[in-house]
Amino acid sequence: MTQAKEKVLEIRDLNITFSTSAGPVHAIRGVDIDLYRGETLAIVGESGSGKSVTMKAAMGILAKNAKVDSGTILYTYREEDGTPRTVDILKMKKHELRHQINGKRIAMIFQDPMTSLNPTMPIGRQIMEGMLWHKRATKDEAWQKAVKLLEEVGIPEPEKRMKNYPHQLSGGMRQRVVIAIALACDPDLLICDEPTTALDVTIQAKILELIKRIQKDRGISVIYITHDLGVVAKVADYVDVMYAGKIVEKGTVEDIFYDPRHPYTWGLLSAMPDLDTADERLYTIPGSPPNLLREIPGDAFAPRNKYALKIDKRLEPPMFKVSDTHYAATWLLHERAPKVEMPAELKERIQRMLKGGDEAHG
Amino acid sequence: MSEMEKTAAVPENFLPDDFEFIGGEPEAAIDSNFSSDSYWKGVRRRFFANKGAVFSLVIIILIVFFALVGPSMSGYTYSEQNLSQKNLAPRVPGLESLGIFNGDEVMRTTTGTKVVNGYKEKGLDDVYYWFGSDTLGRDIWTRVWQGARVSLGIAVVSALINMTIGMCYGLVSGYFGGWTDNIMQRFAEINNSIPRLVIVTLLLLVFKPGFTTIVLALVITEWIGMSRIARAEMLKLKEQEFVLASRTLGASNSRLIFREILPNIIGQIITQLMFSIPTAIFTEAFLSFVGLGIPVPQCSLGSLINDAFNSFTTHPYQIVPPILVLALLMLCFNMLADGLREAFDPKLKER
Amino acid sequence: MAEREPLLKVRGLKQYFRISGGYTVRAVDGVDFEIYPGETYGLVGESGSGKSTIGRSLIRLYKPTAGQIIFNGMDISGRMTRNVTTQLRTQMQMIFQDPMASLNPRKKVGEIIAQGLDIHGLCSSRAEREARVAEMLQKVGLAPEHADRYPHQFSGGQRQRVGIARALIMNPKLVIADECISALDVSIQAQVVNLMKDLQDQTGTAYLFIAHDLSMVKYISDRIGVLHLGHLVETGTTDEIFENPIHPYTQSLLSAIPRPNPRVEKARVSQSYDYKAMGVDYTKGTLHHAGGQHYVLATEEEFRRWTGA
Repeated sequence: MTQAKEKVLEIRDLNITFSTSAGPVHAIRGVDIDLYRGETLAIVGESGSGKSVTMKAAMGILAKNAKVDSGTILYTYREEDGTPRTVDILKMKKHELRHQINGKRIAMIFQDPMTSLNPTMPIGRQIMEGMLWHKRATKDEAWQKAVKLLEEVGIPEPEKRMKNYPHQLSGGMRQRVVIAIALACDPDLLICDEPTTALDVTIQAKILELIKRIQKDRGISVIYITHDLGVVAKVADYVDVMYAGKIVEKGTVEDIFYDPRHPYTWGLLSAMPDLDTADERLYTIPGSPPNLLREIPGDAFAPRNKYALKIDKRLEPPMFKVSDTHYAATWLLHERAPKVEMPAELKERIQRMLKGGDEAHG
Repeated sequence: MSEMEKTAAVPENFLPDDFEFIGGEPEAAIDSNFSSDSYWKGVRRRFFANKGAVFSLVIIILIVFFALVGPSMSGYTYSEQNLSQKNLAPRVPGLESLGIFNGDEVMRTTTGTKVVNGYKEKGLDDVYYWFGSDTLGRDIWTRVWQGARVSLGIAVVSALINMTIGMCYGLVSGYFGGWTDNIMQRFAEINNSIPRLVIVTLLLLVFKPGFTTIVLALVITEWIGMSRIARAEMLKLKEQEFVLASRTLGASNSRLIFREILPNIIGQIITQLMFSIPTAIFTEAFLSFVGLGIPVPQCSLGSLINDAFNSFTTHPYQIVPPILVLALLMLCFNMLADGLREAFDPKLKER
Repeated sequence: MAEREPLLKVRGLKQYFRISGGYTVRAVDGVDFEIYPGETYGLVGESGSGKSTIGRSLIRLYKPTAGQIIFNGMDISGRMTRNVTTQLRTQMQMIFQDPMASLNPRKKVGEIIAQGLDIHGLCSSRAEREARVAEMLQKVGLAPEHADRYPHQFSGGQRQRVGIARALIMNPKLVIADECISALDVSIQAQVVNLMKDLQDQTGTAYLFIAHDLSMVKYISDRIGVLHLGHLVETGTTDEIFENPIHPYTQSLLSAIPRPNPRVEKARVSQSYDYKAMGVDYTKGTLHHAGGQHYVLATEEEFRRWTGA
């Protein structure tokens, strides 16, 4: 497909269990993820699917009651002199992580800009903080860089804003400041955990466009964690769909949106009302995500799956290859399985989208 | 994209009907996902996992038991004096053969120490005072437990009254806010700034010293703590959506305060109640110690300490039992309250 | 259609909040609209637009600063008599946004749902009350056994169903849904919205659907109102608004809706709208009729410019 691209992040067979008062919850059940330099990966899933936990493991900021049962998270970066180095994040000690990785090479942006910022510190200082700590830049250098960063993220009159406190800024501006802080030490991997969910829809688009521009300018890789398919459509090159702690489908963004193969992906795509929907009823996925307290034999999605096969109750489906880029974990792709097409409404909608053109309104 | 070792371990041991649809409607709405403990079960579980709190509870129960039963165990009453048998050291049948509690006292004199046994000197072979006798020949065992009874009684009654008054005051003040809250809080502050001793002295001028007066004194000075807690919790919950929902359904103010919001803060109220008991015990002891408490011949732990204070240097055994009981009560109630607070509001939340 | 008597008529509604001596927040600054029986009116706006405030003012959680609200023929904007208050509290209900916070954690679900019945004494016996609760639970897709459970034993979507049950057991004429699906996952949102539509078909209740998600609003509403900074800048039927948005704010809002179509979405740049830069002053505008039920807040000149050119 392509020449050897540089792999930045490789997660293999990640298994994480939380110990709760009700018992152990096997939240992540064998997750494999690959990310190459300069690409944008979107991890899609609903609450409880485990998408945030997976990325928190990559940053080493899991909760105290989380235990990594197995798996590796290999992160590759370049030293100052350009030589590539690969480390297993799960095996690194906490202070090593803080010194070498967090903020400096992998940065994370969270959902709520109000609680991501320190309300008692001016934003200029918050941007400079990371730089001073990691890079040991002088205060002057850090100040200059912070002003440049504010400009880069599109905040007007940056020098004046350096002294502002978070509560003096609007939600969109705060999120821009959060992005500036994340970029302060020039990381090469940016993880965004629902960065636009708490923002108004008109600001959302702007923030996503900003991250896209930054990505292009700096050549960094980005991972988006989201449940919003509109966001995914806008930003992602590759998409991993997560359900109950496993990845059930992965592929390029066109694979997933125009040729989805897993019934859960069909459900997600159908449940989104779209401006061209004339339907009387929204298609829904019945039921709710499973309780991971109990080990689920077979396919975790089977109870909610209209197209479940008897084997789904016994055995968990492996990843079946659909194309070089597209894989789905469903027994429906086995050669012996009955041929099942996606629901008619979804098929029709995809046809419409492909014919596409942007008729902005119905 | 990814070099997946694709459909690697696809098992070949398929059953003949594996690839048929399960059919029927998928199990929809009803899911048994989220049954976890009910609130009180969780509280009980967390409380009993706290060894310190459970131990304290046991000690408190023991002390209460003796407070109820102790005075009738020894055969003496708390007020009977026997001046010929004053200042006798503790003597317990059974333990005296082990060499302790046999009526011996170590007396320090100007020439050195010597061991004196009042029972032997006076030929009282069949007389036993388990904790010894005081300067007026009264049995300390009986008086200690009688005193504990009085102290606990005063503390619990005043704490309960405080809880009721303080809770209602704080809830109402917090709920209505605005001018009502302003005025009520200012009044409370004024009340709080008058020194306790002044209030007690004034009360004693008007009323006769006794159980009721002490309780009154404690109530007037201590109700504010509870009202502050109640008010703070009310302010937190007042604008919650479930309260708004009840308002939109037409709930009256009293229903909102007592039936919607109060059940949510009962944990903090109970904790504060438990904390206020040792405060009350100590305050009462203090008042009795300075002579403003229980009148003679009744006794409370504080008055006992006061009585025994004078002979502290000559007969130290007299002051030990009331101090010990007082200290144990204070410590155990505090630990119990701490355990309750942790049980009601666990700091470590798993999700 | 406009011959019908509106169920709810709002004229010049203003809701101001005095924060301190000199500073007053004008959350709602003169809003007019109607809702007809059995229809769904979608109220759309971003944060700070005043949409939640309108909902709460209508149901009299706040006392309106000015304006008139006529509900079911009664004036509920000023001092209300006991009778009017009771009517309001039974005929108008609200569903809240946060499924965690909108149910009392110490009460069983059955008690929560029956609260309205209890307060107004609408059931003559315990058996009747239990029967009505069980019936309501089934209607919203839960089981009668769930009445003995506590809220923390349910998922977010299920809790929202309980909230819906609590509102609909009163057989209200109008239900205000205040962003009631925003906090739910997408597939659960679809479930809840379908449920609301079904219940509306069965009972004929009207909805005021307050939301910021335009695609969902388009799906559920008959008519729509667009709010910005406390003013209603445009209102009309769903088709009128989506096919022919006149006000530039509405246009920017529509253009900002993300579409799940990668080829289109990656290329699209959203239209921006800057209130200050455009020189539009909402207080100077009036509602201009643009055909059918379509009204736009504009001055004469602006209206000509936006519809002409």
